[in-house]
Amino acid sequence: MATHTLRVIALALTTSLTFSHYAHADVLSGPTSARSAKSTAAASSSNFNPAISLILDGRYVATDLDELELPGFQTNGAEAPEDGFGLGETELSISANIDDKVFGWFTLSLEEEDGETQTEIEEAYIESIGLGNGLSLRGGRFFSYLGYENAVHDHALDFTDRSLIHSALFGGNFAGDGIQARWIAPTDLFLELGVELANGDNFPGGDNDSSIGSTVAFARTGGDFGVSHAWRLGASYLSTSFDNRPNAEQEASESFALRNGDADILGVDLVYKWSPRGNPTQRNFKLVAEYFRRDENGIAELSQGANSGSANYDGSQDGFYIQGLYQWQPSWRAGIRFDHISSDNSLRNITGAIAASDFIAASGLISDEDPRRVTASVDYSPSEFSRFRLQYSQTDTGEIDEDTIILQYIVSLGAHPAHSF
Amino acid sequence: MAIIINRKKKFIVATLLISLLIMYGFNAQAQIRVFACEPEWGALATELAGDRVNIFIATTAQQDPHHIEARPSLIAKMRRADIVVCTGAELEVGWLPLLLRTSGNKKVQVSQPGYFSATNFIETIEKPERLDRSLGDVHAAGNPHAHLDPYRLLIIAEALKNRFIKIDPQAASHYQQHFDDFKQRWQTAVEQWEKQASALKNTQAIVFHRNWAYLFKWLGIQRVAELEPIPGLPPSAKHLTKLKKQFADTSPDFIVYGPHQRAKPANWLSDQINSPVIELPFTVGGNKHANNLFTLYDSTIELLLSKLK
Repeated sequence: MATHTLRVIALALTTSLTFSHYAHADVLSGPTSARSAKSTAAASSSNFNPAISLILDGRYVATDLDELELPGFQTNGAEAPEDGFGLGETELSISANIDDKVFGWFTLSLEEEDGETQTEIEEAYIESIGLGNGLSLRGGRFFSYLGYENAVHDHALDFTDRSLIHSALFGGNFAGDGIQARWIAPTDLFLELGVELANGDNFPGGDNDSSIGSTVAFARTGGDFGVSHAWRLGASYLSTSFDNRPNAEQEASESFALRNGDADILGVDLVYKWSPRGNPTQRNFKLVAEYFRRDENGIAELSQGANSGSANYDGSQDGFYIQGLYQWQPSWRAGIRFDHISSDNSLRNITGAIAASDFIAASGLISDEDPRRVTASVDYSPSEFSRFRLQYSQTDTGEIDEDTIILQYIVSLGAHPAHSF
Repeated sequence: MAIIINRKKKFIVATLLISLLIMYGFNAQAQIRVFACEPEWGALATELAGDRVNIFIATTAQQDPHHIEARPSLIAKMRRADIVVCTGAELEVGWLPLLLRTSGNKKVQVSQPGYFSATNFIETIEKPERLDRSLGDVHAAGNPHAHLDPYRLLIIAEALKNRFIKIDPQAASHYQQHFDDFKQRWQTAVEQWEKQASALKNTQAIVFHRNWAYLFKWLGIQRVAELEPIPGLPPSAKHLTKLKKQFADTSPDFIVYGPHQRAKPANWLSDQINSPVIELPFTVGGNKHANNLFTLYDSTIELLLSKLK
């Protein structure tokens, strides 16, 4: 009995993984008997089985870059690709309409860090289905709609890694546990307004006592120029606070943290796409540019062995990236990206047993350098479900100047991917 | 003074609210908004509803209806649609569910009368026996391109007429009249097409993609090969060379491709095996003659006959 159940489960999983749709192999019939009372839930992604998709990501990396340390920016866990053969993020997503009112989405990511497999619930949310009047509500854990790249999962990025500004300001991408409300205006021009309230536990927030630790507001507009051009322009704002925001990378005898501070982030983003006669299958071009500025403050606290000190921190950082991807024939794309970030921070009233110059040096927050990176890539996608990419990037943080070459595959098993803009 | 300002404010707010309500009321009275995923359904809606509805067509004949992104402009249109008319059978699986979900529009969700999926009303053909992605872009629900079978199209037309009546019952007789008229003209035309096209029976064709399956089944044209090595993948040099060898002695009657497909592989093979190439319109707007459903069929049959030896 138990074996039977197991077999059924295995079969169900295989079926949904192989295609996520269950089909009846009906006998063909002629046009005269073409009428059929059969009704399949064609637009939902499956017949009761949730849509399951598993992302596999493997790469070979040649780099001398150990960590993504960006002078002028507090370390936040953003990582540089590790040298040698390795797996990227393995991602399991399950989604389905729960009933006629609610849709559910779940993404689990598995990633190797320092020889251990880290499991993370990236997203787990429910969302209203057709609330009416252009309204949508989402609750749970989700990637914020801040800017463009933030809500994109790793495997769907146009390059292997995230932009420097996203890495520097959010430690990858900004997510939280909370709620989101979106409204689409009843106009021919696309206009969407939204707010998010979340716990604010994630960088650039941190440990905090407030029930609402972060607030995001965003507005987006967009449309087409003729049939060949499409665009979207967005602006977003994040306000978050923290009681304690330690460095992600701490040395053994030294610890650094920002306490009792606020961070405000303002950003604008632009996406433009071109395809001849609106048909992207042969040739197409995609341009993305985002700019963010962060203003933050707090008490900087440093302890080195038995000594400790503190200072008033006032920080202002900004940066942008601009990237273009061109598909010159089916399956083949080439891309280029420029990243540039800079900081203008101050540490005042340094007190304690640590010398001011040592304090400043250990904080890593005061820098005249503008980290920058140039990335070029070529990718080949035999189908909608697989991609092979060769990427070269040169990272110049002012302190280090390193080249990175990455050969990567990303494949998707299971449900058909959504074609988001 | 403060009281006056307060009153003024109240007045302004009240005026704004009232005008919003009025606008909303007008909106409710306005034409039915149809979101048609493909041109053929836009054309069918025009036949059945005339100018009682406002039709937006999401794609053109020059676009591959599978490879569409949920663009901002499409979300804005979906937000205000009263009914969405699409092919279904997973053709729009990459973008329609996403549009529905992001639109925040209650009327067009799958459970609502404002969701019309054409292939739900007919029996599809070419349902794969095995679902394996190494077989390419196979649709578990069968071949979705049913609009090129005139019989199935009429079944879909009747279902759409019923749906229009359901969401706009005041105009029931309007839709019924339009449908009756369409049905009569369509049946007459089908008879004529079948007479015209009798010479096409048992001809052989190489196709770019399997999107002519219904047309060929109706007209008795045999599909002998595809330019795509497996459905959904671009024609490869290796596969084309294989076709060249395969048809070196027996040139099929046609090589057929559509307006959103590349001419190059078809032309190359045509030079090698001496079969004529035809670009068929595939849907309304696919060439300059095919500007409604009738002329779409007219043009398709004329083009096929014109290349018949």
